[in-house]
Amino acid sequence: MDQSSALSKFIEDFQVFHCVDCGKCTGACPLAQVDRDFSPRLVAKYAIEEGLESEYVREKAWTCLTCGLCNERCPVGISFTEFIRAIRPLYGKEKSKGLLSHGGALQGLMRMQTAPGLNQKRLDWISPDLKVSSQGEILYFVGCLPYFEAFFSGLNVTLTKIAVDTVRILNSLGVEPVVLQNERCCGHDLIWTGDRTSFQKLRNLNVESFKNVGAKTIVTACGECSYVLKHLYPESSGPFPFEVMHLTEFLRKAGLPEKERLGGRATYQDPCRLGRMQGVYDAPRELLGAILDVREMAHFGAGAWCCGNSAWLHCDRYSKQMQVERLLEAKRTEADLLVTACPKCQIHLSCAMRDVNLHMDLHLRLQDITGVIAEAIAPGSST
Amino acid sequence: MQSWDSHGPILAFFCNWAPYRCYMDLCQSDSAPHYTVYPIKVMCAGRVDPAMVLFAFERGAQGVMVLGCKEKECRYGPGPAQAEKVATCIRELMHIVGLESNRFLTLTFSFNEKERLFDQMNAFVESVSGLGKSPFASAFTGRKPQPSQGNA
Repeated sequence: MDQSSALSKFIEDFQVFHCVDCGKCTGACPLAQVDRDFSPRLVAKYAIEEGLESEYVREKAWTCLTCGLCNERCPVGISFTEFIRAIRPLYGKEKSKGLLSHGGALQGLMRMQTAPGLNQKRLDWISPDLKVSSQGEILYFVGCLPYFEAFFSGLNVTLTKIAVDTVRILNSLGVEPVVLQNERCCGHDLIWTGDRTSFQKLRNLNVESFKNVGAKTIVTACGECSYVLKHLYPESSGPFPFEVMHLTEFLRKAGLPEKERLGGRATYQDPCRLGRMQGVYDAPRELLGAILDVREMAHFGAGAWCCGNSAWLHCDRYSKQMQVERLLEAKRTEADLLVTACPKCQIHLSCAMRDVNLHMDLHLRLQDITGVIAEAIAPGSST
Repeated sequence: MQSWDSHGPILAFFCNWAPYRCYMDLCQSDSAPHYTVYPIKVMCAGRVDPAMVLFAFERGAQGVMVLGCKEKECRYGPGPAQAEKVATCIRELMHIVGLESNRFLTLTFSFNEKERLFDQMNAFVESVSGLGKSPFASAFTGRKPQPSQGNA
């Protein structure tokens, strides 16, 4: 199938021609608030009229944040982000206008993980007090936390603390999760930047190691990993007989052990992959509500604004502006803690807090939801 | 003499000033440098970012050298410090992904150190060859090097 007929097929599959030109997607799009040239409606229009050759589609298919807010607003139910995910691979390397952030180093690291004979050392964060096993039914999928922590060492974000806290929380429930020494990246950033081949390789390697340890349930503490494992792995070729849960869903089902109510006000940033793409809004709020006084930002739940960037694509002044807006929104709730459930939200928002001019106006304590829960279970131990 | 087919290339990022000057001097002298090392000239060692080095490894490079100027001889000021900062990040990432740390080397040079450059390049090629193939060697699809006749 050539590229233009592939595009026609996607237009049909995602029913893009149902577009009624109402412009609600553009009105809701967080990127369109700051970048006046960007409009999901026009991407749909030009994709139908001019196809892949359209200069507009070629550029804007890559600047889209893929946060999924437009899908929520579309009255005819077009899944715009899925359409974007489908057409990105059609742009080969030469045609692509996608600008990879950090020179593409992070996608490079992910592609490196497709090598079969790899001997990674990604479990250095495990301390002696954490109980993990090498075989078992419950597997904790750590994701790229060790890589991101090393890469973003300048931001002072201790991302492996998320992994430590997750294991600590699971241990308090009597679960000794399996962690894999040679786990691979879930492939989220590769499939969203159009690299299906490497995604499939990562998927196969991961599924193989899940089978080898006898896993049945996979728990992750990352919105993206759980979205990819839950929705995109079963979609690609090969069986995927595992139940995937985000930690908050797992805790909702399993129940939390004794916890203490911590003082303080917090607000919660819904990660797009956990909220809109998996519909997990209540589980984290229930958990947080039992521990802290939760205040909602102006845009929350299904209407939550993006942290400014996804899949390490196009980190530009528009991203920065969106992040500043989001942080100011969080400040307006008078919360003294901003809780996220995705390591990337944490990275992006911490980066935005370093703004030279607005530094003190934006400064807010940022913590992952696992950190809050771990603190409530055993006060003082996770700090 | 090795060929790229069996071992994959070794890349060396040369700062335009002292290290590249040493390299040019070396090329014009009797002791030509190891031609399995593929030179890449950059304006400053601080210009080399993690993506460049990681891409090299991802595409099958056996080793990467980053050669900069001495701390106080940098034309721009913060170059060597920046290069060291980036190198720390790269070493940490290499550790996690499971690449031997000997495959990556940063060195600083003054203008008159062509002999030292010669020794260091040969020593690096030697040590990298001793490590065997990198886990990403199969990704390398490059061309064979053209044999050099003394002058590179």
